[in-house]
Amino acid sequence: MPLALADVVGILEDNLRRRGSVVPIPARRATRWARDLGIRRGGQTVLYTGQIYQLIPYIERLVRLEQRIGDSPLARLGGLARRANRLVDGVGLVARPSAAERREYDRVPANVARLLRGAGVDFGYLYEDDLYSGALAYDLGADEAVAAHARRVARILREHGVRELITIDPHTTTMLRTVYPRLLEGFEVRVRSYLEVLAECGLRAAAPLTGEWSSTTPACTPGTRGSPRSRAGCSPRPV
Amino acid sequence: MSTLVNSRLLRSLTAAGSFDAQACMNCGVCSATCPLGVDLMPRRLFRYVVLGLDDRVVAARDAVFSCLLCRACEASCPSGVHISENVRELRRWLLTEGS
Repeated sequence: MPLALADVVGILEDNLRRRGSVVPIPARRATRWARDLGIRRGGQTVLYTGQIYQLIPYIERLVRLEQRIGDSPLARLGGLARRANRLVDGVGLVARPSAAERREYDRVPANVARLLRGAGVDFGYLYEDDLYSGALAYDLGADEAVAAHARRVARILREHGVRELITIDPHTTTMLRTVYPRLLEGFEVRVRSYLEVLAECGLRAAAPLTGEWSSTTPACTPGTRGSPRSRAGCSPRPV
Repeated sequence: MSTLVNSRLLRSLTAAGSFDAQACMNCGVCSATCPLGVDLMPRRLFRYVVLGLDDRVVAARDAVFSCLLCRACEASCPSGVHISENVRELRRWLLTEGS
C-alpha cells in the first residue's frame, strides 16, 4: 500500500510554507558548489539555481525511502508523519545522501558558472538567498503555498536589487518567467536560461559539433530514471 | 447506467482560471502519445469532469497525480486543449475541494 497521496503532498506543502523548500536542505549544502568559485554576492544580474540540482540527491533518497515504506505497515502512518514533520524537519533526518552523490549534482551549477564566466558574462549569486522556486508544489496544485513562497522570493530579489536572473533548469525558468508574473503583480525581473545567455553571446564551439551528439538533460523528473512506461509497468494501448 | 449531467464541478474548475477540458473532442490522440500509457489520462478524465462525475475524478486521484506534465499530449492535441494546466487544476481541486 503506497503512502497516502494527500499526506505526501501535504508534507511537501508544509515544508515549502515553513522551511522555504519542498525538500529543505541546509544553506551550506545548497551553496557548497560555489565555495571555490569566488562568485560575488548579489548584483543586478545573478545566477539563480533554485537549488534544483542540489536537491536531486536528497529527492532520490526520499523516493527510495518512500518506496520501502510504501511496501511496509508503516505506510498507514502517513498522517502521523505529516504532523511530526510540522514540528521537526523530517526530510533532514531521513534523507542523507553521500558526499559522492552530492558532488555529482553540485558539478552542474559549478560547470554552468564556469561556462558563463568563460563567455565573459558578468553575474553574481545570492548564496543562502538563492531559494527553491516552488516548481514541484506548483505542479502538484498546491497553489496557495506557492503564491506565499513566490512573494517571499520576490521580496528577497527586491532587497538585493536583482534585475535579471540567469537560470540553469527549465522548471525554475518557467516558474520565474511565466508563473511568478501571473501570481505577483509587478514582478518584472528578466529571466533567461543560461543556454539563452550563451547563445546570445555568439560563441563558437571549441570543437566541431560532428559525430556523436550529446544533449543537456534537464532535471525534469528528479528521482525517476528509465522509460516512464516501463517504470509504470505500462505498455502502449490501442486508442 | 444513466448519468445525470452536473456542471457544478466544471464551473468550479473554470472559475479558477484557464481550465478548458470542455474543448476536448475525445479523439484519444493524447492517450496514444502519453509516455506513461495511462489509459484514463486525459480524455476519459476530462469527460468525467464535463459530466460532473466527481466521484470518478476522486477515484482517479492516483492517475491524476501520476501525470508527468510533459506536455506530449498537449503538443499533439488537435483541439489545442491546455491539458497540462487542466491536470494541474484538477490536482488543486483534489487537494482542496475533492478530498
